[in-house]
Amino acid sequence: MTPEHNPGEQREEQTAARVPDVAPDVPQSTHDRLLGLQQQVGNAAFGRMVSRWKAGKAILAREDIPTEAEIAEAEAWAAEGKKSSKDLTPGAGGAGLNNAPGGFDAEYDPKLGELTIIMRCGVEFVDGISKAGVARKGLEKELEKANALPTEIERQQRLALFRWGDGEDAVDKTTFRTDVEKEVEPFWSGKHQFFMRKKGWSWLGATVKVDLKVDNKSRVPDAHLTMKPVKVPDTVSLGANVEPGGATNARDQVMNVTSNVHASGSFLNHFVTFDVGKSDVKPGQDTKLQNVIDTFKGAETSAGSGVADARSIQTPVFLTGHASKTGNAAFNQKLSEDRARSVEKFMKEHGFVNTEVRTAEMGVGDTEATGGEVENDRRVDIQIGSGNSQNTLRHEFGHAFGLGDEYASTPLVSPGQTPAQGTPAMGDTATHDNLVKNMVDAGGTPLKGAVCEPTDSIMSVGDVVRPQHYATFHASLTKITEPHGPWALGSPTAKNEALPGSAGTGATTAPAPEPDAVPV
Amino acid sequence: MRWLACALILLAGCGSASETPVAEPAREAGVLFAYEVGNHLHRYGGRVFEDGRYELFSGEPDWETFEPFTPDQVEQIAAAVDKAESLPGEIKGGSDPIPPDTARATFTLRGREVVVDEYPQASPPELEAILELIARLRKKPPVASTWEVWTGSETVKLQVPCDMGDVAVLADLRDALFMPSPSATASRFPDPPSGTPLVRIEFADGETHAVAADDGEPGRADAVKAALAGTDWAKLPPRLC
Repeated sequence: MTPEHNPGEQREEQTAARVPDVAPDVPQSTHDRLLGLQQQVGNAAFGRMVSRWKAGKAILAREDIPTEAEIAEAEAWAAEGKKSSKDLTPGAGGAGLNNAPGGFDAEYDPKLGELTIIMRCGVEFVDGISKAGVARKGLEKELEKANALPTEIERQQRLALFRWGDGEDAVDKTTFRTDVEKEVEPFWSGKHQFFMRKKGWSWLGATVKVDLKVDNKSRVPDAHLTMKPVKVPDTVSLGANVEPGGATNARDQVMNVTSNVHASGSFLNHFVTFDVGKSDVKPGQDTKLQNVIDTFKGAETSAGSGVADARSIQTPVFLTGHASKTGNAAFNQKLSEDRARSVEKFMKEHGFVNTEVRTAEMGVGDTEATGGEVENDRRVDIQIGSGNSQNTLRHEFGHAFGLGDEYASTPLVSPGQTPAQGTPAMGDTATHDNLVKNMVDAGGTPLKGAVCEPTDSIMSVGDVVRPQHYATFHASLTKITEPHGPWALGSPTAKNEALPGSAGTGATTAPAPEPDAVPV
Repeated sequence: MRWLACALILLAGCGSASETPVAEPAREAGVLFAYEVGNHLHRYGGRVFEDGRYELFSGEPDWETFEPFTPDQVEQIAAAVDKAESLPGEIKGGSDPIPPDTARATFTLRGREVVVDEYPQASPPELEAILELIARLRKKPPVASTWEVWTGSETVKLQVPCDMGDVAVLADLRDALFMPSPSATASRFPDPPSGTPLVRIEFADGETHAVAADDGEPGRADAVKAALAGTDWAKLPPRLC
């Protein structure tokens, strides 16, 4: 996915900018001050500051530059070595629906600038259909289908697909253990970075590395998480969930999944079709489109207000019009564009929030048509955000890390479910909301929080790890490095650099220049 | 730039639609017992009609018809349904807050619905008893089989009149014979004479299945030999169940 497709990522880049957007005009006679600053911080750091300040027309106060004593204090702290803590349950700091406390060890290595999240996972392998031929709940249909196979050999071969291999280290078991690590660790690692937003300490950074230690439960007596994968063929799905356990018990979470670590769900791609030669949204398709709108419009300050909740991701929507092969190619190109515009107009008129800035439409004519007059060739594809499927295991590990759900019951996601049944409603506060609000961007501005709405986020119905999804990692880092902090999102600075945004106090609006401010 | 990126994504295969499957209501005329279970990731369900029809769905929203129940079996299910008559319409799990992605079940007992939050943890024994009864009734009648097994020095014949899955001593060998992608380290277990299989099964309907020491499927013979080496077959009784 490209950054252009993802306002969340863009937002992060914006918040990670080291200068405020707005800065006052500054006087010009500053040569001596600049020279002094250059001598004080060194050429490299001075060059970086100049380029950033020029970009933002910010100003720098002399007291923003770290003193040698401040840097030395940070160096001494870092030299003490790794900071760590066991059995953290940072998600317990959240509240409300679907609270999952998390459970893991955390270790911060100042030398490497790395926060390692260590989760020991003990696996209890569960047969989908037992040796005696009894199906697990949800697999009754699979058993019936196996029993209906024409020969006993075929039946036995089919049933064997629902059983784990014998022995602790059967090939399918070792493969599962390895695949869980391969699927989850790189996905949740390295998506965002922290630095200590404290004068003289901001050169201390923390990339995040997730380290799962997956082994059979019998060999992991101190497991944080018990995984109970049900053996099924890859074509069979069975859902998944995490049983959170006690709020402050880091070792009693249970994850129910299947043996298929690549299982996924697709929620972000939809389409509506059109009559031949027409671009208006026809009856029947309007209902379908309304369901898309009601599902992905985004959380509002109040239902139907049309005003986006400040915490809403405001996932972009990409509309791509198509036409069938019949007729003139140039006409079909225009028709496809008209269809995309028609859908955009319909969305705007039927409650989609911020249509103007969130939707982008284009037509591709009949270039992808299958031939002839096929209804599905006369369509507009509606892609929500990344458009990617959600890997179930990655989502469930988000819960295991202490995050709550961010999806909401809507026409296309968990329809008919209610908060009383454990499914959030559109606009509900996500359980990790307050942990997210404890996070600050590079300039020191707190994040807005997390709200429940169908989006392309990993804790909603997509695959994007946003800064808010590092809330429990951030809470852990904060805890194990107390009393120093806060940790902000962004890259660390050079040792002798001012705090990002310090010239403007880190807020979006810069203060009046100090008497000894250094203009650039 | 924005359009180019979108076009690239489209080329990658976007554009197919997928919506959360929702089955048609289980509560249909003539339903004796039905259940529909799941969360936003997956749903499944089953229903038994008073005339014996049996239908299931899983993931996809379409009900699929299977071999019907006999009138006697329908009576047994009806009796179990009657035992659940006094259940309240809604059964809570008691967790506060409710865990993430928790499944919820809706049971239909003749015309009446019982909703169970936090399924299956909160499911009452009366409802589970119906499901267990159905599982028992659906168990396939055993296919008797005769096993000729190479012990390392001779071939012994073993009768299995029950389902092979009910015979513990056959478990490893069954896995070795039928699991996909078999693998085991090469065993020192001696090969049988040429033309004699390691194992040969003959089912009651005449169907046969055999694996030889030179079986063409990679790993299959090694897996069977490893399973054979773990049991003293000559000491087993000739009838295993």
